[in-house]
Amino acid sequence: MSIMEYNGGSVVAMVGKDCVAIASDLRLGNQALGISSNFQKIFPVTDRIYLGLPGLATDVTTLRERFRFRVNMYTIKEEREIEPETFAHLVSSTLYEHRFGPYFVEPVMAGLSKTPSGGVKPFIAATDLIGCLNFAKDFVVAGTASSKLFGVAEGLWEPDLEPEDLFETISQTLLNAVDRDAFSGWGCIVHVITKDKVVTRTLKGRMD
Amino acid sequence: MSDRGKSSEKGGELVFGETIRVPTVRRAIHLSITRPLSFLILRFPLRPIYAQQYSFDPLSQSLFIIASRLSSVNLAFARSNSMPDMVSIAQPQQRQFNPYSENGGTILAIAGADFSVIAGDTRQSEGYSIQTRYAPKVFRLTDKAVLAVNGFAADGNMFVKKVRQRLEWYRHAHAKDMPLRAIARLIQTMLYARRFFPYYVYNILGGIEDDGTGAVYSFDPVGSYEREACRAAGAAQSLVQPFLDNQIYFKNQTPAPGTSHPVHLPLSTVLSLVIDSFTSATERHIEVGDGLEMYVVLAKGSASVQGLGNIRGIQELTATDDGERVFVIRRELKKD
Amino acid sequence: MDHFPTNWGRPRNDAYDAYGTYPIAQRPLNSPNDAFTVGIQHTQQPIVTGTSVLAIKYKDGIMMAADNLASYGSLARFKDVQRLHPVGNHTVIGAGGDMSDFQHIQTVLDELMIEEFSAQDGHNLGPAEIHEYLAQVMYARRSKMNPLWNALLVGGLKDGKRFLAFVDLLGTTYSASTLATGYGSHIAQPLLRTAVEGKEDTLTEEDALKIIEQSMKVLYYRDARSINKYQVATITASGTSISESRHLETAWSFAEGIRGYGAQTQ
Repeated sequence: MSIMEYNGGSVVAMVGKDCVAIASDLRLGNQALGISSNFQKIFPVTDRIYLGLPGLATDVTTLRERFRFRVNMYTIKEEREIEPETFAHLVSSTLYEHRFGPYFVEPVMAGLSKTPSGGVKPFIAATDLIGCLNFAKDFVVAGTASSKLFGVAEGLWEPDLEPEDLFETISQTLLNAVDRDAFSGWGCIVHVITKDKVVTRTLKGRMD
Repeated sequence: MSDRGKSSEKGGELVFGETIRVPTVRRAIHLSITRPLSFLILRFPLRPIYAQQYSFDPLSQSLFIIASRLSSVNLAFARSNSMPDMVSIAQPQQRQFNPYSENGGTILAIAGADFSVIAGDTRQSEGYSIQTRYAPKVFRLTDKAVLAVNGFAADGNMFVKKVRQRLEWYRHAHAKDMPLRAIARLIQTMLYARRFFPYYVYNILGGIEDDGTGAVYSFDPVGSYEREACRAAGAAQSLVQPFLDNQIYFKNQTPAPGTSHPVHLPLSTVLSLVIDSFTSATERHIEVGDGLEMYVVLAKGSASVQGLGNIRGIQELTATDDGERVFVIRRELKKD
Repeated sequence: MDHFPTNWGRPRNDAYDAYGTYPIAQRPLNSPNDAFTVGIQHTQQPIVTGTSVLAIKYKDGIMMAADNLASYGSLARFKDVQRLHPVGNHTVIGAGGDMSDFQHIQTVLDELMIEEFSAQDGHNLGPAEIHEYLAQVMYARRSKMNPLWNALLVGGLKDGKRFLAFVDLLGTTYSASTLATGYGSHIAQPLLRTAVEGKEDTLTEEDALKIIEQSMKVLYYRDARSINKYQVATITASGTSISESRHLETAWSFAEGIRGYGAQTQ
């Protein structure tokens, strides 16, 4: 038994045209036994950054608080909101601090960063459990359904999707991937982040 | 020390190579054993039936000495457990020949209303090494049956050889090609015959049934099988199958009000989906790539034949004039 | 470089093989042993071993090479062993792995050729048939859990058709325009592919020989179970020929300055 599969769960994030989306399933399990169908693993970090933490549930909870603390400290010291790139490095270094006794999570980040001209630039990133950063231009996946997510996303994703199309793409990717994964599913949640709003939708999924 | 040796049944802490407490059943040798185990091994050779390993019984907290191989080198190893697990050349080598290997690649089949598409990549690998960029995994069995095999290549080739032999015998006995559903059952029987030394192969059989419908049968290595509309197997099964669920079965999609999803897709759509599946799998899986072979089996008088004319590099393999037709389409995949 | 961080800064322990390199060509055990396997001697491991065999297609046919060393573990035990073997007039096989198993294969193939010759039916076995036969023998032996511990290359030319294929102790087969066994498949195969792929029909014998010699040299520099003495076989329309042993010219002056390579110990 791998500790990464102990509670199950998956997260995916995708880049669109001036928008990003991040989505996860809602299952919490104890190995094969389903425990909860409303276990959140995506958390807002700022108004424009969301963080997904699939992996060992106890570490999900711990890290959520830890990142909240570290982002608050950053905001107080710097007197400004953290940028997605900076936050990604914060996540990376926090995890690498525990290189030889890691937290068993694979964080996925999605956000919009500010450009000098006052616009926004989509940003997604993911790390492994010891903080190796992966800045992808298209999509990132993590969790027990990651190989399935890779397959479907590689087939469905295309560049420059508008927010509504991006929502459809990420939703279809996640739903179909988790339906083939015994450790993920039991409903999904999707956040689409645009310049002036975040749209959050909860999806019905197969409950088997 | 010798006192502790005598009160063996009461249990206590066990230290490798120092004190050994022996259960009552083997009292004959337990008294005054306070010297290293190696001494004991030398003086008390045990019957060969115990010549396995040592085992530890947590209930009686006793070490049952059933090890003849436990040498002093071994004990030194047991003491210095500060090192992480590594391959030690100090231990006796007790390894067995592994008759299996895994040669990567992916196969896929989709059934249409009156056609079947059976596809596979052509890379053969072992570990991180590409053995060859062209080793076919998809084989024409008859004009209405195509078999794709994936897993351990040596088993796969042998299995195809044996299936073909059985089909030839059938042809000689009945003067016709075996029907698809019968080939499916034959494959199940042949796989199950090797239940206790299985062919390490995932099979997908595609073709045309006697009623003229396209069919796909998928098998596990020991012969469980079912008829399906589509199936992916092999290294990138987990990447491709959910994509197919979505695009072939329209899973998680709701049709527009007043409409319904098509039950069977046209050949051109199926071929595009197959190519997309393999380019996606090639992109994200190291064992998939190099080349793609897509076999198309058409039912008697299938209208899909019109669409095939303008496909680049298509090659017809039909051998009989029964009416079913077999084609192969080859495409390049990325080689990295 | 030791990849186990817990070992860093600790004294080295020569009793441990950190890279798991012993024995040379063993595969990991994938199933637990049960009581019934005790006492049955099905399995084995290679004892006297040959290392890589290389082969390429070129304009006139196939060129194959193997060095003359048969090792006993890390001991360079037999330094004048021929690992290339002609079978009939159109085929040469080259073997890596256990040399006694290879000698058995030679015997079996020689008997087969005599039997086929005796039939006098106008057919003689070409490289494709010999490869198929070998594949069946190797697969049958692995299925009896009593493998012939070799990786074999079969090269030949018959009726104007070049043939080059591989078969190993598992019965795995494949074909390509360049092939290599053992360490050669990791070290030489990339070199051979860059040199040969797409040029199979234009490379002259001289070109092919240069490619082979270069690859054997690289192998000799890096494969500790190799030797600088090797033979080259060519199979062309005029039949098979296996060269006398050749010597590789190598230079080791570069190693002087490298710690752990040259003479100095610290």
